[in-house]
Amino acid sequence: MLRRTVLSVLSAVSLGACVFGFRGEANVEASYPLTDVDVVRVQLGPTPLTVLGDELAPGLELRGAWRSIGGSAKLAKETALGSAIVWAVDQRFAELRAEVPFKLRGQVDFEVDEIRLPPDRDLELVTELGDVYVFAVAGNISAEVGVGHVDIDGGAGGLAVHTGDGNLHLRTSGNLDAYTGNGGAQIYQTEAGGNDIVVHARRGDVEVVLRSDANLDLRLEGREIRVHTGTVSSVTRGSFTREVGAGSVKVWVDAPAGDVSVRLDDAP
Amino acid sequence: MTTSPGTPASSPSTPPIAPPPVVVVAAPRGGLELVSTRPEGGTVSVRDSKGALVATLQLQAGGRAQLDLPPGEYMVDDAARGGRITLSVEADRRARFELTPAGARGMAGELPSPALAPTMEAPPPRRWKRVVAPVLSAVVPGLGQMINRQPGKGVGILFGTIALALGAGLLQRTSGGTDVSTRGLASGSYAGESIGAVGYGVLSGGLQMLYASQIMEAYATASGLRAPEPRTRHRVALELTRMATVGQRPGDPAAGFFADWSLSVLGQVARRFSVGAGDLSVKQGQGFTRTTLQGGLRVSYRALERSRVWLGVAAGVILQGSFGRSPTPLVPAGAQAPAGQGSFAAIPYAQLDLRFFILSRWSLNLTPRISAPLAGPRFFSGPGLGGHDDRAVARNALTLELGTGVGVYF
Repeated sequence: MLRRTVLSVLSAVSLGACVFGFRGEANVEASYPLTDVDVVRVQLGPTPLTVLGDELAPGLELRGAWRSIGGSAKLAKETALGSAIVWAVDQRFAELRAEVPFKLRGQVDFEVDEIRLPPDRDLELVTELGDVYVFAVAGNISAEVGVGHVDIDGGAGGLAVHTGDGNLHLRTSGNLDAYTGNGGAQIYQTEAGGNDIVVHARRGDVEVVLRSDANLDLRLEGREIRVHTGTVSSVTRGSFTREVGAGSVKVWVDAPAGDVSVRLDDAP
Repeated sequence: MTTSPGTPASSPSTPPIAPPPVVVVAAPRGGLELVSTRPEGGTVSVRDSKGALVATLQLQAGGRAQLDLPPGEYMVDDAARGGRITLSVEADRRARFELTPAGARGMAGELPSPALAPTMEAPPPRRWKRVVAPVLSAVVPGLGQMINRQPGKGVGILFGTIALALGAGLLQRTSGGTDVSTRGLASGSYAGESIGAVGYGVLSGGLQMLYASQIMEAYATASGLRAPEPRTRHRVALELTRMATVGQRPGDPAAGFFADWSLSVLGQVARRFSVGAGDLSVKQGQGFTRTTLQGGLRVSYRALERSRVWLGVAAGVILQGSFGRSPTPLVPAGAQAPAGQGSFAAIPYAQLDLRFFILSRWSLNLTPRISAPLAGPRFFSGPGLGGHDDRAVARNALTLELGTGVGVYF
């Protein structure tokens, strides 16, 4: 009898070890002026980031919510209201960041629904956890992501992307430098092409679609390499190097554990 | 009646000693055989059906004696532990009373065994195995058992360890990475996240217990230890414990696995009562931006002592102080570093203490606990599953935890 009771209690607790708590939420909608600001840095903690370039946006417009936990509904609400979004400007630079008091760590997160800003601003995004989606931002863009997929269409001024774990889907007419520690990469040149493309994918395939095959400097490393442009066609393994014309357009791909494909966009 | 030489019936106060391992009796067929497989031996008293003392013997470990008695009912007392067994002795049958580590047991009506003769002792365990077997088991689970000529058990332990590690690793993998980075994917089901975290906790806790137990078992087998004698009269107990629970997270994912590793040092101040420092640990948050110092007071009472198992209750309070500093803002240029901040929490708790012994001094511990942090949040060890942020239980949040670990008794 005792043995059964003890085993029952232990089994119940083993499977029922949990925390009883409440959740709170506080919505945030804010607009920040971008007068004289060229560069915006966004660091709002572990949150997905959706950033849209909007010609009509008067400044940086933020929409999101603080999400919190607490031992009671009242405490959860207080926790959600206890942190702050800070907007700091220094000459041409501005930073949007989340500041969480020490005693609220691990109990509150800011979750971005959407950020809108004029498309000509440069953008620097930092998130530890969350997918990043950027659309129609023409300035240069950098994204530093701990874990998350990155999907960017824009960055004519240049694109630098680093994710520890996630797939890359990048469309740009600017020079591109991308890295993923675990995931594949799909890179598309847009407009006339001719921009440099440098990609490192530690564990994943890389596909590069070019708009122009003039003056290419191809340095490709991967398990299986397929190149099919108007000026170069090859199927090989390991590594492939070729210069076309002046060789001034870098297409450098390093995918030691994946396949590499470089082709010319056949769309008009 | 005949007894073995040197073991005459005597008063209970001065029991004679039967030398191990075997007392050979010039015994007729039948009678009452007294045996001890208990490591410390024990005193045995035999009384007839009227309660008159027939014999009192001190049996040592492995000792054996035989009494030739007139047919009838006899009561045999285990003086050390207080048990009594009544056996029927028949003229042409053998009755047997045995002191075992678990207690005493008796059998009657057996056919007489062949004449007792000095038995062949099992060869003593090799001393090098006492060291090598547990060390090998610590390096490769199950290898010590293979050295101990238990290949089946060794292979089973090895595959069991691999299976638990793979299962825990897979659950950890599915609870991290890009599965949790995409809003609405993993976080679409709070129940799914919770089940994943519970599964990880059960598998990793099972792995931890299997690992510790197979090292102990390798030593016990190599040393020829058949049954442990838990140190009920120990002075000090050291315990290494992982308290674990499934906690809420504020964002995505909404649930996570929370673990708290700690050390406890308890002194036994009275029979069954222990008092001491519990839940001692130092924890670091993500990127060493937080340091948490933790300690507390615990009082425990051992309510039940069975041969290999102890069951007790305990209560106490954890005191936790945390401090840290936020990173210096990049904008504006030259911004001053923020001042250091801190928090304090007192976490009262009550728990069940279940101890299972494979060795006399070492136990496997299972500890269900109920607690709630007061005055501030309770921080857990390091970044949690996925390694993305601090793991904290909010103030006043009732928490059910399960502790797994090992204890050693001095």
